[in-house]
Amino acid sequence: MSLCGSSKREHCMKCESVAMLNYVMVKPGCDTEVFVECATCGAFVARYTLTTYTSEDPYRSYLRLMRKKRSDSGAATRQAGQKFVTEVWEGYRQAKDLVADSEEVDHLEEILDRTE
Amino acid sequence: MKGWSLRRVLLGITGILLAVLAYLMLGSLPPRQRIMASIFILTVFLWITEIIPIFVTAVLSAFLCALLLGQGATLFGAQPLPASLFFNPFANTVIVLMFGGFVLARVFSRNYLDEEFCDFILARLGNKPQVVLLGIMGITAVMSMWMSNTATTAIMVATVLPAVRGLRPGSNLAKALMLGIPFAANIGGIATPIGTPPNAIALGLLAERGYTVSFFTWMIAGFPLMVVVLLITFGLTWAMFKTTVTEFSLKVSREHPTANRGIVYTTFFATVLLWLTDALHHIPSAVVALVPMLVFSVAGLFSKEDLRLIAWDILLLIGGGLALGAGIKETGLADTIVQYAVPSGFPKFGVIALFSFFIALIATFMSNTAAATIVLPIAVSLSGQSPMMMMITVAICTSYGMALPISTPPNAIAYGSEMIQSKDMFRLGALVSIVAVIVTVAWQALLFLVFPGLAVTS
Repeated sequence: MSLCGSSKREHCMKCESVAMLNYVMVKPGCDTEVFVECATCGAFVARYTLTTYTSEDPYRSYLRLMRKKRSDSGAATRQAGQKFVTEVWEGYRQAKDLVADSEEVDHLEEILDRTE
Repeated sequence: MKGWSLRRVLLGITGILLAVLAYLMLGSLPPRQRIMASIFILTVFLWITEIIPIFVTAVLSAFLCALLLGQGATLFGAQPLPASLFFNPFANTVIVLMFGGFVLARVFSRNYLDEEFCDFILARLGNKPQVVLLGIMGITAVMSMWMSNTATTAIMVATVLPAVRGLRPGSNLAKALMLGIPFAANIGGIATPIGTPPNAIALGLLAERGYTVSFFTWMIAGFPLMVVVLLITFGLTWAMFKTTVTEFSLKVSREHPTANRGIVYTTFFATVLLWLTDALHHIPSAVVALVPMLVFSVAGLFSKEDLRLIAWDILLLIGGGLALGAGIKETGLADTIVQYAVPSGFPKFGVIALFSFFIALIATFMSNTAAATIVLPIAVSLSGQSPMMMMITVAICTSYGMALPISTPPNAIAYGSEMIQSKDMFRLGALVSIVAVIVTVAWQALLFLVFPGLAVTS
C-alpha cells in the first residue's frame, strides 16, 4: 500500500524534546481534551480535542464507540468492528513509516492546516 | 463508484431481474399486486444481501411503492394509490414512541448513567461463577429493555472482556459469559414496545388496522416471558458450558464522570410510569414519549448535536417497513399470499407457531427488523379479527433469531471479541431459539386464553 498524507512526532517548540506527558480531561457532556506537556522542560505543547479515542486494545475502543450507537444489522456491525481494528493498526504502521521516510520540518499546525 | 464492487453490481442487477421476472410470472394477479410483489421481492433480496444499507432499502421500497403504485400505476393499467399512503407511516405514532426511547437512552449514555448502573450491580455479584453469569445476563436484559441491544452489549462486553481474557483460552466460563451477554440483550428487547424495532413494527401495523396495544399490555405479554426465557437461556448456557472454575469476580473500579442523576432518573421513571398507566390518564404512549426530549432540552441535557446523533436510520427503517406493510395490505397482496401459504382449516395456534418458527429462522440470517417487515404484514392479514396474539407472538419471536454471528448486532459484537467460535454460538443459539419459540407460543396461548380481554382494541 502506498503511503499518503503526513506524519510527525509531536515535539516541544522550546527544547525540541519529543518526550511528552498527556493530561486527559474528561467532562460529562463535553468533548474529551488532551493537554500535552513537554516531559523534559515542562512547557505546554498542545491541546487535542478528541472525537474518538482508541487504546492499545482497539476492539474495546470500538465497543466504547458502539455504546452510543444503534445498529440493526449483524453483518454490518461485524464488518464495522473488523474494519475499525484493521484501520487502527494499519494507520499506526503508516504513521510510523511516514515519520521514518520524511524530514520533520513542519510545525504540526501547518500540517493540519494543509488538510483542511 | 467508491465502494461498488463487481459483486455488489452483479447482485444489484440480479435483484432487479428477479423483480421483473416476478412481475412477468405473476400474470394471473391484478396489476397492483404484481407491482407490489415485484417491489417486495426486490426489497427482500436487498435486505438479505445487504448490498446497500438496510435503511436505504426501506426508503427505496417506500419510494418505489409511491412511484409505481402512485401515478405510475396507470402505466400498468391500475388505479393509482395516494403517495401519502406510503409516506404517512414515517410519522406513525410508533416512530414517535421509538424516538422518545432513543432520547432517553442517549441522555443516559451521555451522562454515563448506563455504566454506573451496570457497575453498581456487578460490584455486588460476589465470586460464584453461576451468580456472576446470571447477574450479567440479568443486567444486560434489563438495560436492553430500554436501551439499544447493540449499546447494551457493547457496554457489557467491554466491562467483562478484561476479566474473561484472564481465563484460560477457550474456557467454558469465557464462552458462557460471552454468549450469555448477547443472548440476554436479544431477549431483553422483547419486554417493552421500545425494546427493539420489530416490536414497533408490530404495534404500527396493528395501529393501522385500528388495534391499540398499550405499553402496559405489551409488558404484560412480554416482561414475564422475558424473565422465563432469560432463566431458561441461563440454564442452557450453564449446562452446555459446564465449568470447573469455582471463583470468578469482575474488577469494577471505573470512575464515572456521571452528572445530572436527579433529573435524568426522575424523568426516566416519570416517563415509564406514564407509559404504564395510560389506562388511567389516557395519554397515548407516543405523546408521553416526547416528555423526555422536552424536559432534557429545557434542562440543557439534550442539544442539537444529540438530536443529530439519534439513530435516524433505524426510524427510517421502521417507517419504510410500515410503508411496505401498507402497500402489501392496500394492494391485497397479503391476502393473496395468505391464500396460498396457509391451507384453510389449519388450526390457529398451529399458524401462529408456524409463523413464529419461520420468523425466528429468517431473522437468523437477516436483520430482525427486515424480517419483521417481511413477515408481519402477512401475519396481520392472516389473523383475522383478533390479530393481537399473532402479532405480539411473532414480533417477539423475531428476537430469537440468534444462532449466527451475523444474526444480530449483539451477536456480532460478542463474536468480534474472539473469545467464542461460531460453532459455540450456533449450538447454544439454535437450541435457545427453538426452546424460546415453543415457550413463547405456549405462554401467549395461555395468556390470551386466561385473559381474553387483555388486548385492548379501539
